[in-house]
Amino acid sequence: MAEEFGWDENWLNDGVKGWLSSRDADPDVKALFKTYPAEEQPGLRVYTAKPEYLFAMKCRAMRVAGIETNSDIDDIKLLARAIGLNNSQDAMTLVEKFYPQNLLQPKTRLGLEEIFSNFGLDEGDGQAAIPSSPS
Amino acid sequence: MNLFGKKPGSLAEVVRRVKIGEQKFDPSVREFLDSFYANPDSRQRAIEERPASIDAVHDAYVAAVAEHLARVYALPIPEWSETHGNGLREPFFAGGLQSLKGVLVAESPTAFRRRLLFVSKDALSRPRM
Repeated sequence: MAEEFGWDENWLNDGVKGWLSSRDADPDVKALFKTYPAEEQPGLRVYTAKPEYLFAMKCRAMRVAGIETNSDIDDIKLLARAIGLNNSQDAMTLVEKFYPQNLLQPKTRLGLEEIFSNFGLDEGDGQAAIPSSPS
Repeated sequence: MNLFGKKPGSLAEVVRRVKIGEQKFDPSVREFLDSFYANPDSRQRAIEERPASIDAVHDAYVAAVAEHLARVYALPIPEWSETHGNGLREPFFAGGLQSLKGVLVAESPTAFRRRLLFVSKDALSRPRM
């Protein structure tokens, strides 16, 4: 497709594969976004990760890097709202459905406890679009 | 900036975009990193030009990015990075969470830590092919 349309060869990459859960093949963790050109014809099916899966990925990464934005932290708050999570225990339980404890760093639990201790106090929580996978 | 728009090819370009209001700092840095990683032949060129000044935190961050990338990819550390952004006097912790400060003090890369910037150890990582 990139050749046909003259796009950058890296327009689509698979760099997220290092963050995938062992449940990635489970049909329950993804949703069909669209089929091209149509379901009745051979072509391309595009799936997106469900918010629960994205939430677990973001919590596992818990990466903080920017100056003006809170990167994964903002996405975690947004996804928690979308899912309906309101305490850190439920959040950790959800994360552990996707990743075993030994793959999780202490910062995941520490970060979630603080995020949920202040949850709802930030006026901006839940106001933006659902984020994509870790980037 | 659309999906297929041109990414900033240098740190100086990142700062230029920020100063004229064309792009926010964080997404511009992320796009710069994508370009840096995808173009091994132009990595030295991407960090060698001294950027303009924004403020103490941004300047220190840009200098830390230059030094860190130079160290990781065995490039000469740009001379400007030693003098650019030396005005930061208070530590800056990314993410805004008190509970992560200890983690960030421990894992922030040296180029950031010595400038009083505390970020994740993988702060400059990007999804790659």
